[in-house]
Amino acid sequence: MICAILRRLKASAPPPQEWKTKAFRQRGNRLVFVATLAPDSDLFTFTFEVDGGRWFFSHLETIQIPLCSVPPLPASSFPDLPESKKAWMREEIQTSENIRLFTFLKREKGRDFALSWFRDGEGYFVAARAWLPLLSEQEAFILYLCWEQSVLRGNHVTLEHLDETRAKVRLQPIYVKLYDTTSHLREMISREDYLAIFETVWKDRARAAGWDLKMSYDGTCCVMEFTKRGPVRHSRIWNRG
Amino acid sequence: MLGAENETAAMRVCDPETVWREFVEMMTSIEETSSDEVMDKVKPLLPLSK
Repeated sequence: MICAILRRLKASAPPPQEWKTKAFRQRGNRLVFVATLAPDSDLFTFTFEVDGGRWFFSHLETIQIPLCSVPPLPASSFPDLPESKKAWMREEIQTSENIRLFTFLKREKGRDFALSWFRDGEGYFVAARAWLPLLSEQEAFILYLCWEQSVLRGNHVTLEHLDETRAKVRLQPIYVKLYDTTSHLREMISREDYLAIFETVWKDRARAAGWDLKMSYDGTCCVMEFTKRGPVRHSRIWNRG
Repeated sequence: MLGAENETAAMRVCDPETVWREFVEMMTSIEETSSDEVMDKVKPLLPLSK
């Protein structure tokens, strides 16, 4: 996996001779370099391990929390990061934990049980109705999905269509990108199971809200096509504002 | 004497400029390098079992 990441880095970055180290730290037998790959590029952290008189490449990281020394104490505020990086970090932490749980449950209880653990549709639909109180249930679910995925989780979302019987959402989830860009997830779980968790979650959420859901992929973009199941429950709104 | 040679080798490999230069050399020719040869220079930060 790391081998593939290094090859991909080489293919997408300027020639290695142009990479410039900006800082270095030795931690025991680990050597950590912070470097740029081009004059205006983001920072990359390269970690090496020294063992038996040889160095080994260990890790490539694109996120750095800007703390380079212990701040004056007592300290109650700490440097922030752009929202997009924080969203990525939250998703990586949560996904890693979910995959760790999935692999345990699959081993102990079987794949179907492990997948069913992640079905949270009823609760998700309650949240949609509670937090979007002035929309119909159908609209509330679809618009909550869009809001939650974009505003709360930092995913790119495009709502292409919404009426009482049909909706179409293009979602570019960090979750899907994570599998291709981190090495540890691919060590833990197959792509088939990884996407099965994602699809199980969304199909259960759609089911709870009375929608059938068809999912397809366009690269790392997930196209979600919702079709209303059963009769449409009409609702009315009074606005005294 | 052998101990001194090993110590020198360990210090050489810990020299950050040497490690970075050798890594850049490895990356420069990674397309022509077999996966086994690359993996021989890799030790994941987080050891994982499949």
